[in-house]
Amino acid sequence: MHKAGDSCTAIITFAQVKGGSGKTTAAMCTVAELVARGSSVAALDLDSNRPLGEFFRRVPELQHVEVAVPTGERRVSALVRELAARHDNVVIDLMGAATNDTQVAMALADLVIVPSQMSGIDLTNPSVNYVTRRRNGTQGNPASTRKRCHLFGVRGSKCGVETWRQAADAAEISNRTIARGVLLARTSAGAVRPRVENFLREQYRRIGAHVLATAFGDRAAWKEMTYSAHIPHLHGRESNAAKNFISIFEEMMTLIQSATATVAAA
Amino acid sequence: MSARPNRPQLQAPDLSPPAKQPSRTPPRVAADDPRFTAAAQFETHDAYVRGVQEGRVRVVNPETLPHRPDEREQAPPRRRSPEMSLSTKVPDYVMQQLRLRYAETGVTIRNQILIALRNQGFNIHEKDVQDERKRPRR
Repeated sequence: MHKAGDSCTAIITFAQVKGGSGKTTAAMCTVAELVARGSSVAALDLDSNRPLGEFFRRVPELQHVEVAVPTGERRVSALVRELAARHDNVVIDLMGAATNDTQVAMALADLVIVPSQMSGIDLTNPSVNYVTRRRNGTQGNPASTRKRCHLFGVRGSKCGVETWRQAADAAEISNRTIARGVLLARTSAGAVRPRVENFLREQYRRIGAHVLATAFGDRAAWKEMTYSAHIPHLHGRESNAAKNFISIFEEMMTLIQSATATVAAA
Repeated sequence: MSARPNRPQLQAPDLSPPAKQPSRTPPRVAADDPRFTAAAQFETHDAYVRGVQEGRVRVVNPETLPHRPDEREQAPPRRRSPEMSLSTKVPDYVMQQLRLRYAETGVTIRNQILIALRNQGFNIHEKDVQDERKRPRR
């Protein structure tokens, strides 16, 4: 978490090319947690349904949160730069699709979080082809990178997997270290981890993805939040739902700090 | 002989150094922040076309779709009124903000001022708020 006086604003992007994965809920919760910790935060809502601003207006503690939306006049990067000039943290919520904004928002980010539900559709969608690029160990420019484009993996878009690879591509093309993590969402909130969650973690590990140890548990509190405007970790820190998200948030901050340390050591 | 009128006392000028201006906090975002340079690579029309061809872009957000280069290169309409020179001074930090906004958006300092004046109620025609150097606004 960045606070006033830190040298740089932290930008966190929630991305998943499949809709309904939990991006917006995670983005809402992240903004609320930053506010709960006394940090200034703004949001960029790239979902045309504009859920963030609508929700924040209904929560008294979040009514002051600045939410930018694209107007066609400004580039996404220009919008984020304006927000970053005024706030310590910027949270970007993407549309649930592979849009022209996806890699822009990833390239801007210090941290990309890829929410993924437990179903196979969140992991993979075989109806779409996705071509990725890989730079063969050279520090080349994008033009030279393009010459080395090739198919990566089997045919078929893998929603969570594709999103992870798009983030990796964005980092590679822009020659930046971007912290990344997969957030398993709507998992069992009980103590016992279901077999499918372990299976999903293993599938993400196969592609080298980092999966957050804490999963976003499927709780009524998150579903009720948009009706009641009661955010568990903003309005009370002791509930199980609150502790769940606080743990996720702390892992996210650790990822940013690790990436920052890696850059500093390089 | 009349008394010489009292002349006012000479006052020693204040020679103390000027009070220090409160130091501005460092900007949160540097002008050359690599994150924005990186993102710009993905915000061109060419990058969008490549994204579609490679399957990375399958849905278009019309609100953020990059303009085609030929659209941007279309000459803007000519200004309609004769122009007069205006010179003034502004605080350095204001000038820095104007320059930064120009770097971010391509809106010239002249046009930023005209737009601000128009927002204050001045009558300024849209055709006179044109960048005749054809610099793209997006």
